[in-house]
Amino acid sequence: MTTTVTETTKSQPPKALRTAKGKKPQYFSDPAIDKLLSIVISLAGELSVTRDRLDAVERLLEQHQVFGVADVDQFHPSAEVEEIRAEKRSRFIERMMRVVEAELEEITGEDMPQSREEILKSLR
Amino acid sequence: MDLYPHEMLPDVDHDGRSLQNFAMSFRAHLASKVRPGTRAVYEKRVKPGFQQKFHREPADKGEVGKEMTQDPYYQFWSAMQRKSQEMMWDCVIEVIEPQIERLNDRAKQVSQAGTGVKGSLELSPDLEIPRYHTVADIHLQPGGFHTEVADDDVTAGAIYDNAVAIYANGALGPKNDLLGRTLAHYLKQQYPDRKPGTILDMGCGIGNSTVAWAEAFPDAEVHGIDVGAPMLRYGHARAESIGVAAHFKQQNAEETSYPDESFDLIVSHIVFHETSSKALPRILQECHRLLKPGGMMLHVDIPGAEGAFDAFMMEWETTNNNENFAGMFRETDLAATATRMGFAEGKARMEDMPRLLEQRQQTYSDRAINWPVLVGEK
Repeated sequence: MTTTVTETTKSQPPKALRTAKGKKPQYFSDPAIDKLLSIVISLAGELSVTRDRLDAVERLLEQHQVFGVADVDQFHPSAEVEEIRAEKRSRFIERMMRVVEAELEEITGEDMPQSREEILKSLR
Repeated sequence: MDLYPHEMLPDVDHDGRSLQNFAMSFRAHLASKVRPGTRAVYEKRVKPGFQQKFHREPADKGEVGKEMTQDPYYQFWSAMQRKSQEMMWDCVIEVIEPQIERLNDRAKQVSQAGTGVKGSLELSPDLEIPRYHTVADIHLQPGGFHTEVADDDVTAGAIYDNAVAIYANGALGPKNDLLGRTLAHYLKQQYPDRKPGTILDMGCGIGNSTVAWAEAFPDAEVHGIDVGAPMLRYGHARAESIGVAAHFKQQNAEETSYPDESFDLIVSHIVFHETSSKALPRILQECHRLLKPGGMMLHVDIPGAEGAFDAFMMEWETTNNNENFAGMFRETDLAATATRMGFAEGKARMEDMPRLLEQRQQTYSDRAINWPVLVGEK
């Protein structure tokens, strides 16, 4: 069992870190507002990408005279496509929810400074 | 914001580019439409409120800060600015993460390309990473400049190169080398007799300025040192791919392994404000040791600000962008410190370097400000 886990771990592609170490300031009196704002802006980013992509698809379709918008309305994705979409969707949600994860990392991470004062102390 | 083509650039697909474009547009919006409003909010709302309470104007950035951080407009801009910085890294990491192994392999290939290689790379895996790097990730780059996520890793360098182009909204040029180019131009303008044969770039990171110096002085032997191995691996492969000879070494600028009097010119580009009050004098002492008699050092760093409000706004990155030493740095007398650490009386001074900027750098300030340069002659 242990061997399998090790082998699986070894074959995993490397992961980049996603949260910056340091004390994140609190901007609003209610920390929930900080998180909500972060999530909303992430969503705006995703929406912007989606609009660009749709625009690309529509222009390509038109260019190649493949089909019209009505055909898109009638489209039913296959199980395989659904799986790909689910994978993309969960990565989208991970990105959107990172701010919540970040707070946890600040609490649970090793050698995490608990205040700016602590950081400044080590720079003096 | 297309970067100068070289072999270390990641492949960027449609959605990756689109999200990066969003991050850049969002940051440009904050810089041009939201941040400037903080001045009006201060003048029309915050300052009058303070005056009513205390019958005088706020005296310094600390007093301005106490009031501004309670203001809802400032709070919202500040929170969004922070988010935009986090997003800048994230949208680049999103593109690079699936390509980490490929980029690491490519760096190895480019660096070991045999007869074609002009520069060199020398890593010191036992080098202790200074606390000012490990206590908090500078600029919020996850993992900072030193963390490795794979063997022979270049990830931090790849992330930095692509993100800094977004940070500056392309204003650093396709090689992200505006500061190196500006400082080399300044040297040629102000000190035309100086023709350095050996140049050291301290805190060189991915060598974007190092390459600019090598291009400005093609006959010079150019070295770049940094503590971050992934930055140096990436930087060496990048320089080779661009076709420029530079020698990259993993060294701490406080105490390098170069012999005394090794260099005609020592430079650094917005590095000092990321260090600490212990490290900074030691770096200047090391500069003095490494300079040949008659040699020169030029260190460009972040500008200060006049007036309580501008001083407060300029400190945003200190508190919110993990430039934790920047506040203390701005209160440091650099020329006096250089003199204390070995430079002869009158041989170290501050000079004003005009910006080459075609486009103003967007997040530091809404006004064009010269770059301060610490000049030292041995």
